[in-house]
Amino acid sequence: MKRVAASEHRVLSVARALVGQIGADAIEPVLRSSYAMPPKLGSTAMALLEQTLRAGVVLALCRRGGWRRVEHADAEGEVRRGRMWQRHGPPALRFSPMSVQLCRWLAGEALVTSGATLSWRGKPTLGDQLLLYLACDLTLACDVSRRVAVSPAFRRSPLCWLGFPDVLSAGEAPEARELDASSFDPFVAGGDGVVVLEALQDDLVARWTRIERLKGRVRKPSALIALGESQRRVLDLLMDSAERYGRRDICAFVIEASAALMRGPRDPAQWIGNLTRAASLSERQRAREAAGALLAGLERVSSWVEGARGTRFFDDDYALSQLLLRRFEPLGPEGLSRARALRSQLSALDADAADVSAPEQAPS
Amino acid sequence: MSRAYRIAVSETLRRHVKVEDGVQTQLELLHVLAAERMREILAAELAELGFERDGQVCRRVDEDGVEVTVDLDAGTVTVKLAAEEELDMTARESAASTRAANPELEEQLRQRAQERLERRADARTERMREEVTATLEKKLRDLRAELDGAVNRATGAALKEKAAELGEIEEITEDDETGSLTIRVRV
Repeated sequence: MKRVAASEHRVLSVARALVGQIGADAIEPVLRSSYAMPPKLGSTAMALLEQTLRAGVVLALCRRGGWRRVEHADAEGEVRRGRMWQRHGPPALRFSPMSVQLCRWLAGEALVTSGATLSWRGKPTLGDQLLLYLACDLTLACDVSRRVAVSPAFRRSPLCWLGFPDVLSAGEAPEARELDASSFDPFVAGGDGVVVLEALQDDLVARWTRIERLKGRVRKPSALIALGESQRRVLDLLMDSAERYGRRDICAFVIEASAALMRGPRDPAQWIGNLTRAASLSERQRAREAAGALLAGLERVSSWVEGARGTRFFDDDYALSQLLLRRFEPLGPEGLSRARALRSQLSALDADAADVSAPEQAPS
Repeated sequence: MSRAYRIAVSETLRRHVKVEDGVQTQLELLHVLAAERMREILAAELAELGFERDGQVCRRVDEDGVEVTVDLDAGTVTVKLAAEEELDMTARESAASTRAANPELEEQLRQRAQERLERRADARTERMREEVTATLEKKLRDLRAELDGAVNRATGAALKEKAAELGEIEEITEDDETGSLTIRVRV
């Protein structure tokens, strides 16, 4: 039987929670309390941590969508269908000391009351980035994500911005040094980065759908503006990379999330109904435009779909174009039309007209 | 027994304050004819509503000071209102002192008075902004209906021109209530 110190047990419990072996409810008390961490982990604890991360992170990736039989383009522009490990070899996920530091930080800091943030000087590996992503999810589930929003290590992670713009924008929208033109290239250009992004497509659909559905609870225009600007920047940069490397299929989650939203109620109040009317009209207008950030991204994807319709069977990107058209089917022209109508309503001149019959709602 | 003195200071704030609020949105104008022709038709409709044209911009200032600007090139409409005021405020602070001259206490009182003036100035500025916003809010719905009407009429006029280009117009039926327009053309 392997023995570890109490502090090491906390670190290992956090690692197990990150990869889904322990539920968020069980680890929440750890994340909310502080604990003095020794300078480094012992060899037994380190070996157990490596084992947990090595197996657990790949399993988490499979559970989050890698298990599904889906179609994606490969480096040659051909379309392959299958589960993650059928389309590609297993991703080589290396974890640097940053992952250890992440687990120690989560286990040692009381994330609600502490002022400590997580910083890291070196370049995170793909495994590190994935662990940061899982940490965003866990801290959000436990409602302790405020320190994550202002931690440089998370804010410099493109994967975290892609999956959790709502968490990170609580700090503020990304600056150029946090997200730049090449930030998403490692996840689109090929190699293990694209394996990870393909596997997370389901997760991204769920996340972006949820983010849109919760916009209706936001009261402060500044919060909605920061979120919308973050979403716009993330989508613009991801789509630029996707165009550069011929991997527009990697942005299909935008179509799927929009399709899910357009099937439900499409009242603008679902997005902006709780915005305070105490703010100026110009600020409220910026907030309304920010509320439509996903729909703005959808316009660019729909222009790709239009282009795909004109691709001939002997063109080089015919297979990829057909894939894009298939991915567009859940939304379809009708869904796109509804999305455009909603966006038009959000930016209408009289969207903020005085309405004495609509009292301000208390935030839920 | 030491005497009690009262140190009193008075600070004044004079400031010119300007607040502004507004919105900008896109006009949804169908390009039935060439863009330049559509702009001319729209400009003519806006002129009927009291807009004055200056190059590619049509502008109107209403009685309540609301300025509506239509940029024919960009296809945008901007609605804004500004308000200005000369603030002239005075604040007094006083406190007891054991000395007739107490420069440190006087400095503290001046600072307190200044802070109070700044808070009052900020509050007044915010109230002005709220009034400007409230005026604009009341106007937006009617303004939208007005501009939508201009755009619809411009579109109707463009459709008639287009129809005339296609052939001989036999009949035009317009329903003011529904806004529908039916043009029968002999090609």
